[in-house]
Amino acid sequence: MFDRLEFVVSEAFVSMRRNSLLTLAAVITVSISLLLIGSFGYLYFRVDSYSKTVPNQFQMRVFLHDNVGSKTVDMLAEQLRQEPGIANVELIPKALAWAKMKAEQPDIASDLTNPLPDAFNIKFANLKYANSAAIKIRTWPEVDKVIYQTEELKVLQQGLGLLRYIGYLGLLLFLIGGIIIFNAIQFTIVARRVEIRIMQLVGASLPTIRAPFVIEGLIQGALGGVFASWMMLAINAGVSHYTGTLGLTVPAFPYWSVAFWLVILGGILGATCSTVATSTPLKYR
Amino acid sequence: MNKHLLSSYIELDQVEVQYTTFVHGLRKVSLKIEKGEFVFFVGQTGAGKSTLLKLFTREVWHDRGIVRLAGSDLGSFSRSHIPRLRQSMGIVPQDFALLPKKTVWENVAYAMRAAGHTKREVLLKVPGILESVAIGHRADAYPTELSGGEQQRVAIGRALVNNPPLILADEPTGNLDPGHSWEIMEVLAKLNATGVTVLVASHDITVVERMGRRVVTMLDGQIISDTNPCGTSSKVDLEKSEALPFAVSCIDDAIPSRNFVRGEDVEAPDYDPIGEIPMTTPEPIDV
Repeated sequence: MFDRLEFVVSEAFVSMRRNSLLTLAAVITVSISLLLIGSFGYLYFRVDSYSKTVPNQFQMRVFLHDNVGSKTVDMLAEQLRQEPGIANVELIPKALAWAKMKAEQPDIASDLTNPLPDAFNIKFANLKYANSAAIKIRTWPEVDKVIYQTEELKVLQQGLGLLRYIGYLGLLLFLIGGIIIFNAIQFTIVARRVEIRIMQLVGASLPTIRAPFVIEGLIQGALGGVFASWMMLAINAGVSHYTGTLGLTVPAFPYWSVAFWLVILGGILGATCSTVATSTPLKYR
Repeated sequence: MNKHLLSSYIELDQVEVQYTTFVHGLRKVSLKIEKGEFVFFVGQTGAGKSTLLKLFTREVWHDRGIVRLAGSDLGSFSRSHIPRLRQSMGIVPQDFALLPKKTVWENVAYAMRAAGHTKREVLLKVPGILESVAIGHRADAYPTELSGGEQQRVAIGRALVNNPPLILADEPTGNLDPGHSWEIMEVLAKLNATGVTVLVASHDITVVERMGRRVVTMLDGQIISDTNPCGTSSKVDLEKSEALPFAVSCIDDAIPSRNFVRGEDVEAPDYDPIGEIPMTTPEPIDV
């Protein structure tokens, strides 16, 4: 078993050495595509973390003036519940909001009196009523401010759109990387046709003939994943350093988990493409 | 089905191979070959001799008829059976198919490793194989440093890695001059003397005549004559065979000409035709 493995693996390395330029092209393309996919994942992770701190497009936040009494607050809550398209109205009392802020930022909040107003967090069942509801609620005298589709949220949505395009580009390059591996393997098959013929003449089993090529594709893909992981490590270090200089605290990025999956993804891509590439030309005929 | 046919090592019964609607590889070919025979298939290009050999390697699949090898009906074989089938035979190609960056020793070793033998088996067996085809003294040479005959001997040695009871050689002397062609035939004859069945497709009528073995002559996918060393034709289509230079009507004449210089006054060597062929290179002759 080990003897056989040694033979097919050594054949794979001989093949890669012989077609080193094509191997390099395949590895670079796969690493760039995986880097883009990894970057997409990285940015998505960051934006997703941030997006949890702002209301999403299904939510609206209504801040009341300081002098609004509790009875009026209850009355406003009831009015809001009767508005069309609203699924849920949650009152966030200023005491509760202040307690939460003090818990999250004790240094800032310790010397201050509560500056926060009572607020409602509204969730919509149907977004088409959201704009008209926002316009109407803003006219109520008790309401100080309505936050809905803020500039911040728009920027966030644009960012998510950009990430989607990066993701598409990464997927496209991923496919191109697969095609390059496919071509590299087919080129290798042509370059090694004498070896293949000899194997077929002496009755080598089909797995013995195919395995070196599949291993070669797997190594090319996995190497692409390794290079992409190294670049991800550099990007992560750069972003962490930059956010650190801005005094921002960002959640820890699960680098090793991402690196592991990039290598696995690259290996699967390489093995799949090389399996497809060898399925027809290596058959006994 | 002919019961007589079923008792032979190789049996073909009414075998037809059709490449396209109008192109036939073989037409109703029936043939039997006994274990240990040395058979030449001769004929012009396109006569069907290579197609016939490829039936046994399953590079060609017959459309009708029965092909049996050592009692197995090859028609019932699927592609998954081909590796095992090929391990039971040695195939010698015309173009040698040697790896230029590997030495003679490595070429044979590579084939052994590909066929599933361990490193230890390779170390034990390769020297013997090289000696059996008289190329052991060039074990460290690269194919580009060898003559055509030596390269073909390596190819024959490679065909022996699985200890096959059957050797199939398709035009093994097609790329060689007469001297080297004779070398190759000597090697094949020696293997045959050990009990190996040898089937050779060839259009080298000079070598075929000198060998004095069974000759099956083909034309347009059909067997038109089948002559054995004693000179009796088992099946001869005289009308067709007269039109062909390949049709050997009586091999008996070829045996005395083994003195290699036919037409000159040289006495034929006194030896057993099987296994005692002198390892000397014959001088080329005009036919």
